[in-house]
Amino acid sequence: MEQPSNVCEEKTFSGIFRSLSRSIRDYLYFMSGDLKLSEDLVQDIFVKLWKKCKDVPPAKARAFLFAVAKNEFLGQVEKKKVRLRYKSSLNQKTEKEDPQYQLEADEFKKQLEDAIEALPEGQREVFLMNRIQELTYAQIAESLGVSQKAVEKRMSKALKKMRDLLHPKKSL
Amino acid sequence: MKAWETDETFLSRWLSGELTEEELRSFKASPDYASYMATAEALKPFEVGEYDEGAELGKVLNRIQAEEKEQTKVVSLGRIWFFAAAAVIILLIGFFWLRQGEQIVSKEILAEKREQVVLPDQSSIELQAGSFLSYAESDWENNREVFLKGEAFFEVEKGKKFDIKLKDGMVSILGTSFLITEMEDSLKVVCFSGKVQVEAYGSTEILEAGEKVLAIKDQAPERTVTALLQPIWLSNNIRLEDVPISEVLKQLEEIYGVQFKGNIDQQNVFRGNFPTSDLATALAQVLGPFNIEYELDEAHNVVTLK
Repeated sequence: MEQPSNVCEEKTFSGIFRSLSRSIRDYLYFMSGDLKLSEDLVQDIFVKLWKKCKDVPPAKARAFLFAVAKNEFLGQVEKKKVRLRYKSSLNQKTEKEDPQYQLEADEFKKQLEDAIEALPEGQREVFLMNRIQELTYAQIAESLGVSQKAVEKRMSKALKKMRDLLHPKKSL
Repeated sequence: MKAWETDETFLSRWLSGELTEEELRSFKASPDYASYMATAEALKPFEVGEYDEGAELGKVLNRIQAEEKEQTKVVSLGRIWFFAAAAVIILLIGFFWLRQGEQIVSKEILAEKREQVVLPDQSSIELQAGSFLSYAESDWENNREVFLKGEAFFEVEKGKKFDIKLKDGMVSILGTSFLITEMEDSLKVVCFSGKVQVEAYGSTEILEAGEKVLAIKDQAPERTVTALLQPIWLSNNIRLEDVPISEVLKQLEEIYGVQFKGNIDQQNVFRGNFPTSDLATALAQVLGPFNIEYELDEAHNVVTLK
């Protein structure tokens, strides 16, 4: 089938929503730390995409959506701390009635959240997009409108910083 | 030499499985490896939160549909009048899959520049820049009614009652040309020909050609006369043929808000043009031919004839 030239067809639009909305939601969350706000903004952003649908070829949808998402935030939203949640599929396992286990898990989660908070914004978004959303460097680069090389550099820096925070060097 | 601390992309290449065998071997042999591995895997058990794509998509489609409906309710998809004076005609077109065969109800025009609107019965309205007009195009035969915000000059074809609804009143046309200027808490109507009935702030006035009324909230309406034959903003230049000079001065007073003092020979009859936005030129063009000397005060309020 021929690739449509824009995203004005319902099928195309819905397909893009299904493949990208979660990424956008997560990205907004990484930037804001506010889940409800992020989900509301996803709707706004897709309504915008629809209004501009004639001008957006499907291949540019990702870059368009992330650019709008980023704009929503410029100087507008008060950043909250990103809170991690265990995957819902893991809930049964983690809800073992072992208070000691629970305590350690919570402590570990808090350390992680603090470390994430300590990352500069550029590194944080790349790190979380790659580690939680499991996006490739190429996808992240396209989303953020930067080069893949820049993403790789940020990722390396982020991992190093996270590691240094989570595993403070023991004296050699 | 720790490549993972000096090579800017070493760690990212490691995560994406792009290290050479040699690089990977030396990294694995290092005591740092375990902590990097643990850090890389640390976020695995986490997600941002559940997300129901299907439900969220439904919400977005509903919102889009609601917005579409909102727009098609008041916006015409029908004939669009294009005019050289490229004014903005606000039109939202129900493209996309949400297009519905809804009855087109009405038309809205927000004039960016002055714009002429021709109604279905060929009545015409000159909308001043910044003014807004709406009317039910599809029901025009039964219902000659427009809603106006701002300023507009009307030339109405004969027919059924023609009503202009305003924020604070209504003007009903009884066959005629006139100017409406809507202001904050006041309304001015100037009748150039025919008759109009003005209802505003609880009072009703019937104006004949050459009369105007200024209705002000909580005050009695002020009725005066006009020397003008049409709104000044309709042309940059006024052309008069054999008009007594005293009438011309009245027009200048009205256009420029100046006052003439001194005597003038009433026998003089003016024929010519004068601009509506340049007082000095207008005075020169009107008074010059009669060799009348005059003085304009600095505030441009008083013209003293000598």
